[in-house]
Amino acid sequence: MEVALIVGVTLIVLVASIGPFIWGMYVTIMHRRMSRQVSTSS
Amino acid sequence: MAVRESWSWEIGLIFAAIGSAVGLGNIWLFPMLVGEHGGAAFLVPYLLTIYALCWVGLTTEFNVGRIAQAGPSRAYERLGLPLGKYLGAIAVFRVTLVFAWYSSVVGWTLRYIFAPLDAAFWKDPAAFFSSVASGWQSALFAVITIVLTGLIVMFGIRKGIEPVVKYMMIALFGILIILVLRAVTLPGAIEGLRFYLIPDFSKLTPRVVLTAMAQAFFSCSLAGAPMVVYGSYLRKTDDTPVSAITTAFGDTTVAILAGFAIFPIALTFGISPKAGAGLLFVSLPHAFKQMIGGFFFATLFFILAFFAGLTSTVSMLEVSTEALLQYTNMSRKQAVALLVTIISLLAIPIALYGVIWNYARYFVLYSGPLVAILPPIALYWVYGAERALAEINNGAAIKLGKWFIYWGKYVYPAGILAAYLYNILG
Repeated sequence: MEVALIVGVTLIVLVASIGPFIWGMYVTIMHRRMSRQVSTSS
Repeated sequence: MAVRESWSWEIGLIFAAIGSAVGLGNIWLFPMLVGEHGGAAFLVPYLLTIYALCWVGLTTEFNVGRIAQAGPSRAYERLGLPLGKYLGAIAVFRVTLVFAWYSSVVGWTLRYIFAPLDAAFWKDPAAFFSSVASGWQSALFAVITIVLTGLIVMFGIRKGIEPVVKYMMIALFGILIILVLRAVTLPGAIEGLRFYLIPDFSKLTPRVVLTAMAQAFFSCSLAGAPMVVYGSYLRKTDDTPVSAITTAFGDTTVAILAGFAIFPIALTFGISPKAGAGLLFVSLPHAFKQMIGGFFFATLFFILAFFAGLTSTVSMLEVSTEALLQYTNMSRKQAVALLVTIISLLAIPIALYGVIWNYARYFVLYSGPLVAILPPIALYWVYGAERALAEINNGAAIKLGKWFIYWGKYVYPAGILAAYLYNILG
C-alpha cells in the first residue's frame, strides 16, 4: 500500500515538474523550426 | 554604437538561465526543506508558486532587460524608474558581493572533484572538509573558480556563456540521471523515498507555505539582476513567456531529481538527510565510502555540484561585467580582467577569515525584497502595463491576455515581497 503511494506521488511529482519543462523545450524547438521554414520559403 | 550581442536562439537563454537558477541550493537546501516540512506536502505550495508566480517573475525580468537593452545598471533608469540608476547599482553590487562569497563554496566543490584521489577524504571526511574549507586551500580554489568564471564570461554571449553553459547543463542533467538511477536501485531506496515523498499535510502551516514560496523565488534567481542581464540579450522575435516557463521548470526538475538522488543514498547508509550544507561535504562522503563504485559516484556527484555552482557564478559575473561595459569604454576582456582581480581580492579574506561577509551578508539579506520588486514595479507600474504586455507578446507563440497585467502588477510583487520579508523576519 505504502509502496503504491510512493510510486503514485513520484509519478505526480515528476509529471508536474518535468512535464512543463519538456513542453517548453518542445514549443521552443517547434517555434524555431517553423520560423526557419517561413524564412526559407519566402 | 556597437551592436548588442544576442543569444543565437531561445535555447541559449533557457540553458543559461537554468544554469543561473540551478545552484548548490538545489542539491542540498531544497531536498532538506522537503524532507523537513512534510515531504510531498511541501511540494504543493512550492509547485504552486512555480506554476503561478515564478514564471511570471522570470517573464518580467527577461522583458525588463529586453526592453531596456541593458542589464540592471541601466535597465531601471531606461524604463523611467525614479532613482533607477542607483537602485540598479544596488542590485549589481549585491550580486557581486554574493559572487565573492559563493566562489569559496563553489571552490570547495572543485577541490572535491579530486578529493576521492586523496586518502584523507575517505579516512575522515569531517577533518578533510575542515582543511578544504579554511586557510589557503579555500582561498586558492575560490580564486580558481573566479578565474574560470572570467574565462567563460570573457568570450561574451555567443562564444563564451551560451556554448559553455549549454554543454555544462547537458552534462549536469546526464550526471543527475545516472545518480538517480544508482540511488533508487540501492537497498534502502524505499526508506529514502518514504522520507522524501510521503505527504504529511499536518506540517503545512503558513510558515511552511512562505518558506516554500521563498525557496521557489530564490531558486529561480529572481533578484532583479541575473535574469535581467540575460534578458537584455534577447531579440524582439524571441519568445519570453515560454522561455520563462521552461527555465522555471528546468530549475525545479533539477531540484526534484536531486532529492531522488540524495535521500535514497543518505537513508541507505544511515545518514541524516537533515545535515544541511554538511550533507554535501561531510555526510555524503561517508555514504560514498560504503557504496560499491563509491569513487566513481563521488567524483560524478562533485562534478555535478561544481557545474551547478559555476553556471551560477557565470551569470553573477556577467551582471557586473555588463554594468562596467555600460559605464566605460573598456573592452569586454579588460572589464572581465579588472572584475576578476577586484572580486578575487574580496574573496580571499572572505575565504580565509570570513571577514567582510559577516557584514555583507546582512546587506544581501535585507536588500533582497527591494531588488526583487524592482522589475515588476519598473515594468508594470512605471513603464506601463499595457505597453509591457505588448512587449511581452512580441515573439510569443502563445499570446498572454490582459489577465497577465493584473497578475504581474499585483499578485506577483505581493507574493515575492511577502516571501522575502518573511525570510528576513523569520
